[in-house]
Amino acid sequence: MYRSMLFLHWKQIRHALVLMIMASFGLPLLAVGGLGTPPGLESASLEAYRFVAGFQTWLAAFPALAALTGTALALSAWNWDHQVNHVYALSLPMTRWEYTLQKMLAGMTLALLPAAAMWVGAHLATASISLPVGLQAYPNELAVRFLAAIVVSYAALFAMAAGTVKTTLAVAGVIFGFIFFGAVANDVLAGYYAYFERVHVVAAFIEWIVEGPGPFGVFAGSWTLIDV
Amino acid sequence: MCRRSALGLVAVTVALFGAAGVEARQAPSGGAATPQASSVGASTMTPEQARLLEKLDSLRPLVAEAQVALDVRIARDLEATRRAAAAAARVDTLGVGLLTVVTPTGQADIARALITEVWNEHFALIERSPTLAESIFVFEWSDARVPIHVESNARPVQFRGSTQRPRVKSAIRNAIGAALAHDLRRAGTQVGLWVSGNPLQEPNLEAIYRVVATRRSQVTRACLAGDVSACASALSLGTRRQDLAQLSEWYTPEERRALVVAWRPELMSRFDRPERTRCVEGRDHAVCDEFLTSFGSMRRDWSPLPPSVRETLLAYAVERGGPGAWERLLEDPDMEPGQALEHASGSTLPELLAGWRARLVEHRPETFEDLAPSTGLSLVWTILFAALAMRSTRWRFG
Repeated sequence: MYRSMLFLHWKQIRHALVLMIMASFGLPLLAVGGLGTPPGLESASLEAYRFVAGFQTWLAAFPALAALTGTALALSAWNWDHQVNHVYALSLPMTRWEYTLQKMLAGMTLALLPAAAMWVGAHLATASISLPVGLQAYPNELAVRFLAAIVVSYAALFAMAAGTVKTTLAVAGVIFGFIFFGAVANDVLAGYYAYFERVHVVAAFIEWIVEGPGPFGVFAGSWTLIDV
Repeated sequence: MCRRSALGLVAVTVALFGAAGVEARQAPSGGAATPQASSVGASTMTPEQARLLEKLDSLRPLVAEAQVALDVRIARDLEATRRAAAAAARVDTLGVGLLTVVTPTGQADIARALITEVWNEHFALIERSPTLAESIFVFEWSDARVPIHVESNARPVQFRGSTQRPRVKSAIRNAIGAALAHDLRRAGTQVGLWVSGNPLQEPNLEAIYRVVATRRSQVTRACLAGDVSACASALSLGTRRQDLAQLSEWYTPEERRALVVAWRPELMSRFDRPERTRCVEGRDHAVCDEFLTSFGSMRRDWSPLPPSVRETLLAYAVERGGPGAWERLLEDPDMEPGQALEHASGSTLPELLAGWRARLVEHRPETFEDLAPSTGLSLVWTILFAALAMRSTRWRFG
C-alpha cells in the first residue's frame, strides 16, 4: 500500500519536484559562484571575508526553498483526495489513520530527493573552490537542516490539509487572521491594558514559532555553507 | 522659530502696507475703505495710484493666509507649553549609581529596576565619570510619549511599549557606554583616539571573532593561533606608523598586493590608477609597497583590525582592572594605548592580550551548534502534526 501511495504522490508532484530537485542541487553552486580566486590574485586564501560576505546574499534562498518544497509536497499529497471527496480512502481495507500515516511517510520519502540533491550540490560547490585559511564548509549540516525544514513544513501543511478544503481554509484563515488583525487588536488593547503595551501578542507568537520551542525553530538557525 | 518670525513679519508688513493703502484710497474716494469702493472712484485717481491699489488688493489673500498660519502656530505653541507644564508635574528624577534619570512618574519603578540592573551588571565598578556627572538620561518605555524637556546634556533612552525587555536593557547599556566613551574623547586621551567608538557597548564577540578570522593579515592569523605579540601588532598597540616596516609586519608581500587589488580603481584619483595597474598587473611588489606607503601616510589606515575589535580589548581591560580601572584609564591623556590598558587593567600587556584572545576564541561561532536540538524539535513537531492529521476528522466543520 505504501508503494502505491508513493507512486500516486510522485505522479501528482513529479514535474514540480523535479524543478525543486534541480533548484536544491543548483542553489549551493550558484551561491559559491564568483567566490573563486579574484582577478589579480594567485590565491583565494586572501579573500576569507569575501567568502563569508558573498555567501550571505544567498542565505534567505535556502530556507525559502525548503519551505516551498515542503508546502508543495503537502498540498499535492491531499490534492487527489480532495478532488474525489475522500471516497478512495473509505474504499480501502484500512483505517483512516493508517491511510494518513502511509500517505505522510510517502511524502517524507519524496522529501529525501531534494535534500539529497542539496547534499550533492553543497559538496560539489565546496569542492569547486579553494577555501581560505580559517574558513570551513558545512555541506552535511546544511543538507540535514534543509531536510528537517522540508519535513516540518511538510508535516504542518499536511496536517492542515488532511481535513476538507473548508477545514484547511478555516485553519489558514484563523492563523492569518490572527496575524493581521491581532496586531491591530493589540494596539487597541494597549490603550486600555498595560500588559498589551509591554507584550505584543502577535510578535510574541511569531517569535515562539520560529525561535522558541515552536515548530519552525529549524528555520531560524544558520544556513550558511561557508563560515569560520 | 524662523518660520514663525517670517510669517509674523509678513503679516505685520502687509498689515502696515495695507493700512497705508487704505489711507491712500480714502483720500481720493471720499472715505470708501473697501477695494471695490476704491475701484468706483478709480476715475479720479492717477494711473499710478490705481496700479498701486490693485497691487495692494492682490496682497489681501496673502495677509489672510499668514494670519491663519500665525494663529495655528500660536495655538500649537500654547498647547506644547501646556503639555510641557503638565509633564513637568508628572516627571520623576532618579539617581542610580552615577546616573541621573528623568522619567514619567508612572514609569519610575520600572526605570529604576532596569537601570539598576544594567548598572550593577556592567558599570558598578566605575566610581567617577565627568560625562555621567553632567548627563541626564531621559527614560521612556511607552507608546504614549510624554514631552520631557531637559535644558542640556540630555541622553534619551526611549522605546515603544512593545520593545522587548532585553533590548531595552541593551540600549540602556549602550547609552551609558556612549556617555562614558565621551570621557575618553573629552580628556583627549591617546587611548580614546585609538578606539574612537563606544568601547563599553554590548559586544558581539562572535561577530568580532569573525572579523578577526577573516582578515587577510598574517598577524591576525598568528594572533588567533596564540601569538600575543601578533595580537598586539594586529591591534596597532605598538605603533601608529604606516611605513613599509610596519606594513611588512602586518602583511606578507602577497597580502600587501591584495590590499591594492581590493582597492578599486574607481575609488581613487586618476593619477593613482597607473601605479595601481603596475602593482596589480605587473606583480611588482616594490610598486605595491610604494603605493601603500604613500597612501598610508596621507589618507589610509592600513591597520589589520578595525576599531570595533580594539574596543573589545579596552572593555576587557576595564573589566579585568576592577574598581578604579576606568579612572586609571583617564589619568594621563598622553599615555600610549598599550600603557593605558596596562595601567587600567593592572596586568602586563601580554597577560591582558592572552586573556582577551582566550575570550575571543571561546566565542568562536559554532555555526551549526543548534542543529541537533532544532532537528530533534522538528521531529517532535512532525510527529505531533502527523498525529493531528490522523485525527483530522475532528477538524471538520461541515
